Amino acid sequence: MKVSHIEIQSYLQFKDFSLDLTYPKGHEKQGQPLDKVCFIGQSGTGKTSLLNLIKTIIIDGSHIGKFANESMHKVTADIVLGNNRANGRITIENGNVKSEFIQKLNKYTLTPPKIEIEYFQFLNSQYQNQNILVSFPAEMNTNLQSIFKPKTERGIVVSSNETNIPSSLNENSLKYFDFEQSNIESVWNIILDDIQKYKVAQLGFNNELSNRLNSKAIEIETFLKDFQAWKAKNPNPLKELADKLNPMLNRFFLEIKPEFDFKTADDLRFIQIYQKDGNQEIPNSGWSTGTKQLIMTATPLLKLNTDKSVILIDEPERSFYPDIQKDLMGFYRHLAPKAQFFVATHSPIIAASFDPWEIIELKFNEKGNITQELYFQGEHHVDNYRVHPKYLRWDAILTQLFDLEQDGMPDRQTKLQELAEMDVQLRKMKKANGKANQAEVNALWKRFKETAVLLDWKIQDYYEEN
Amino acid sequence: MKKINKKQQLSTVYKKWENDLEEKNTDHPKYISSKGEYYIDIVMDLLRCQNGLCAYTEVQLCPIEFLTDNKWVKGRYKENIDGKVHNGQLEHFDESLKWKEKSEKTTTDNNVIHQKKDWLWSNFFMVDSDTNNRKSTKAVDYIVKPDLDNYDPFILFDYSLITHMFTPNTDLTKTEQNRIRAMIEVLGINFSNVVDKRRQVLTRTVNYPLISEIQFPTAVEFYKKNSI
Repeated sequence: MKVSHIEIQSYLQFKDFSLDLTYPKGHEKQGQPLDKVCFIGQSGTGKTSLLNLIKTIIIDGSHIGKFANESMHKVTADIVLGNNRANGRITIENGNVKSEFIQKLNKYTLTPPKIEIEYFQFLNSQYQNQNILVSFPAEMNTNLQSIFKPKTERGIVVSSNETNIPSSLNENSLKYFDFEQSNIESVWNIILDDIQKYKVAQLGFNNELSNRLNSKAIEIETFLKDFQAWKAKNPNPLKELADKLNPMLNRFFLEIKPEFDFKTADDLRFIQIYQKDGNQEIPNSGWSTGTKQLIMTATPLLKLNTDKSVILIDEPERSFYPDIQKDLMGFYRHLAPKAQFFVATHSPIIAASFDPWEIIELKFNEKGNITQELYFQGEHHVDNYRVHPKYLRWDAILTQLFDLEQDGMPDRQTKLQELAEMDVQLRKMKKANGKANQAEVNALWKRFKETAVLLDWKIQDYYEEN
Repeated sequence: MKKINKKQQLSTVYKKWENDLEEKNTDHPKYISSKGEYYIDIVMDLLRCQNGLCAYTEVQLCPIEFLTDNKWVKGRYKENIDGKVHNGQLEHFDESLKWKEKSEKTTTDNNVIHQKKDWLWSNFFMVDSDTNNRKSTKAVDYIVKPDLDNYDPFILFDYSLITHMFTPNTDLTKTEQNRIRAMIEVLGINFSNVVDKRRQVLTRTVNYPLISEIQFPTAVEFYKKNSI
């Protein structure tokens, strides 16, 4: 599922607000829903509200029904299902949700053929064993101690058949993973299910092997062969996790090891992290906030089937240094290449990962309502975009996209103004053809150069020495 | 900041209405965003007078094809337009000329007596939206009001060709320089995003002199004066 249009008649600070979430003319995916969307805008312009609205549209429009309320006087969203095969419209009016086809199932036939199918039934048929939504709030619970309660309170390995799994996670219903919800522990157990099972199996093998140490050699050999055969059929899920996450974790001088090192029962529950190129394990309690954020967003994106998912990430930049932020969206996209991403950010570095047609800048208009600042003039065509964040310097993104009026603190502006005035004075002295007092010229030139250094202003590009 | 001639109005219906209010010394209706009957006429006539440019920063707000005289019939702008033809906002140069309820007064309004001249032609300019939002209700100094008869940017300002920033003319008194420097800040003339655009246009002017530039005519003129 991908969202292609949203029309809001009235919802919180949004009034008569519409979003076209498709690629512009001239793009190879012209008219198709955007693969990734970035909401930016001043605090209070409704970035998180839009993420929540999309969550509501998708979850409630799929008849899971949970979030819609009367503040949504009328909201309509058009969605596109794989390869434009069937398009749907979800309308929320005064808290009531209606899902319908806006394009009939031309070539698509269900078995047995049934044309007058309800839209949500169709969604169900499309999403068997698939996940419809993955949502990461800004304030994600990264406290592992609170997520994984003491082992005496519950078993170690949880399967999706367990009775305490929320109904939304049952196999036959549409699935969503919302890391803001209270069922967070069950969610994580599902995500890590195969890793936990693999660890338990390997532990069982080790125990069994030690029990058989006094058996005949041929019996041990047979047992080992059987285990090798089992391993061939059951690839180590830790290896895939290590392969995909280590390129980023290595930048924290950390790594996941494909081998399972069992020391305590906690090792069965979650992922173990080691110092890079060393055997020193970093206990969960010692993980940095950035490490937690990375593991707890990247792991679900890798482990969950996101081929038809919408993924919402509020403030993806949280706890990440700029060099990591720079590569974050590419990393996430690599983990979930077919999903549609919506992020809300305050980071110019995150925003720079997006093409201009993928950025929705929200602004207050003169009446205090929210509008979208358009980056193109005339026809909605790739050639008509005037701002391209991928080509801009970081400071230019701040001034051109994030609307900072100046490229530094007020003190910098004062110094820049001084530099400009000294430049003008020097030019006038030069025009005076030797009539200017040379001592004054030298003093001004010295002050000019010192100011230029303070401002990181490369004066050699403009003036020759003396 | 180019000198702007607003004397040859084409919005004559609005002009008569405004003149009548002034002659009878009547309070103007309160300005509420785009609700005024003559709003479009005022906006498009100002853009025409300003050659489609922001009155302060000289960034382009509107393509000039919307600003030709044939768009006007009997003193009204007749072209059907929506908000997308320009990126500007209607700006009151001097906010103290607008209605202000007591409850609306802010700390910046200390001792300012607000008049009720919300629709005064002489107080209007079209400016870039960001510039208008940042200027907001800040107090102004008429020394740099660009439609005054005695306004001359080449007397009041200088231009640094390396920083692409406007400065007060150093030939003026220190007091005058300080007043002008303060207004450069209030009107956003040296905001970084504006300076970046101005640098690009000047670079094109230097390297490709055959390309005619609409934006930043004052900076281009300063460049030409200084390159002779």
